[in-house]
Amino acid sequence: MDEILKRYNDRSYLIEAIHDILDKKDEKGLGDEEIRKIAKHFKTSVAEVLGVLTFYSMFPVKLKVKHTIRVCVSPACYIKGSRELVEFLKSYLGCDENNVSRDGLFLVEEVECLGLCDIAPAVMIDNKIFGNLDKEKLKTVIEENR
Amino acid sequence: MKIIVESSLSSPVILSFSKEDTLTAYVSNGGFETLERFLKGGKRIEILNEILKSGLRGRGGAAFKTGIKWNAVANAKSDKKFVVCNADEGEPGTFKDRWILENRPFLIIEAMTLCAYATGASRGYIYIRGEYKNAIEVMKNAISQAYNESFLGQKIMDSDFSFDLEIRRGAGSYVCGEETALLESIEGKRAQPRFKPPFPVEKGLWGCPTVVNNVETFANVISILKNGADWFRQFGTQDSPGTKLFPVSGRVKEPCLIEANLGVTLGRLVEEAGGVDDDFQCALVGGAAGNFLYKDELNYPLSYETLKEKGKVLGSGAILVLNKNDRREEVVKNILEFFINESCGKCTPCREGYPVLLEKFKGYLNGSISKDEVLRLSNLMFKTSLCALGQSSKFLLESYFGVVL
Repeated sequence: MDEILKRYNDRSYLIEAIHDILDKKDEKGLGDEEIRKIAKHFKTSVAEVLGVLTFYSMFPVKLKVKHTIRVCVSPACYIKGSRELVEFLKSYLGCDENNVSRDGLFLVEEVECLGLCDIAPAVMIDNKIFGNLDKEKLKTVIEENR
Repeated sequence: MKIIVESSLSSPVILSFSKEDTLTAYVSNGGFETLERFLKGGKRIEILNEILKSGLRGRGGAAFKTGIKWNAVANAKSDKKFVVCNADEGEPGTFKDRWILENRPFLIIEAMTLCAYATGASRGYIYIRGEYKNAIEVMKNAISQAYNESFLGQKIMDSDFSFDLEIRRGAGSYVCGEETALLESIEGKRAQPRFKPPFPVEKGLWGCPTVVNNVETFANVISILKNGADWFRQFGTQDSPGTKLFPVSGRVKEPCLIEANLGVTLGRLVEEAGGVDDDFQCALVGGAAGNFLYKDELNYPLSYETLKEKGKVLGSGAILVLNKNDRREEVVKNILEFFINESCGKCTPCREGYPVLLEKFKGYLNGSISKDEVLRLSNLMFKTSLCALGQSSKFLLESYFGVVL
């Protein structure tokens, strides 16, 4: 984390720095100590950093999971059955009320348009894209990306 | 992604069937010749005049004349000026900018550099939505290749002109597509839109004059400067010159990206995408900020002015086709939920309005609320919201109910 912060001095790089820190972590999410450190580095307040973290939906808040599954639920995917995919995922992975899977590996997120409408319904698992899905295909994809 | 050039178009302006993601490929196709021509003797005013004469309109959705923006920034007095490319493509149904970023990154770099040269800017940012991991990688590579060969950086191609360009990633916020919210995000803050005026051309990044253009807008610049405004005006219509990228998805046999003249009909685009899967019901044009077009509008020309005459909008050009089995009201509910999720919370009409609007719409569906009451609220939000996000439901709902107030 120190290495990453060293690259960014200007306050405007806060979002870039958070991206890089999260990309490098095995478990997604930032702890209190890390948030304090970031705030200090950019000479701003913890409230500012928390404000930015909570504003942007790609930044998880304190949820420790290995993979994030982003299911697009915007119109193009929606009319091709993405809600059913969400329901299937939640039951298949045994998600709790925070949408974290029973084994703690996955976070299931319903997200807005991913710009993958040509291959709807589509999901992103971390940085990878999967399209033209149905329940069976999704199941295979999940098992391959565990 | 499948790409199609609409059959009445002899050759595409933006789409290209060969990948141009290396500098060598771009230069061998005549890339950076235009930049070189202007840096070695061309006048800034020629660039500004040509873009103005071309009548190019912003392709992000608002369709503002690009030449007017560029001239305003060029004429502004400031030590620092900026050029920003809005690549925060988040409008549901829209995937055109992704194609450009992934396939023709240098076209954007050259266009932004020329824009900076013409307006007197010294620094540029490409703001790409965080979800577009691949586009970010391709663009990052392209920028570093351009730096290595002196197409970016200090004294570009041995001229006196210097320009620095960097990528800033978004992080999952639709409102960042709004230009002032995007500027806030580049500054590293929560992306809440600013009051306008002042517009970014007067006070943009860090309060300095800033050009903000969509990816597709920049993608037209080089061919205009290469071939002239008159050449560009052979495409499209009088008030909407040029070609347009139309991302077509939903109930068509082959979802794809189509380049066509502005003024093309919806019916043509649907045909090019392999026709409708089952019977055509309607199309959502322009995404969540857009509106429905129906069967009787299949032969109506799609351009900024023709749709405006009907009280409708073209927006980003996204076409989402619904067949007779799709439930239009479910799509409307889905979009209202989308706006609830994406509202930044800064202004009351949008933050408080959308949840109530959704309830009222559900009330309309079960018969307890009149359509006038639903439209009254969306009209109020249109008049009082700070940015386009809070204003967008007006077009959607009026087209749903089939009325223009």
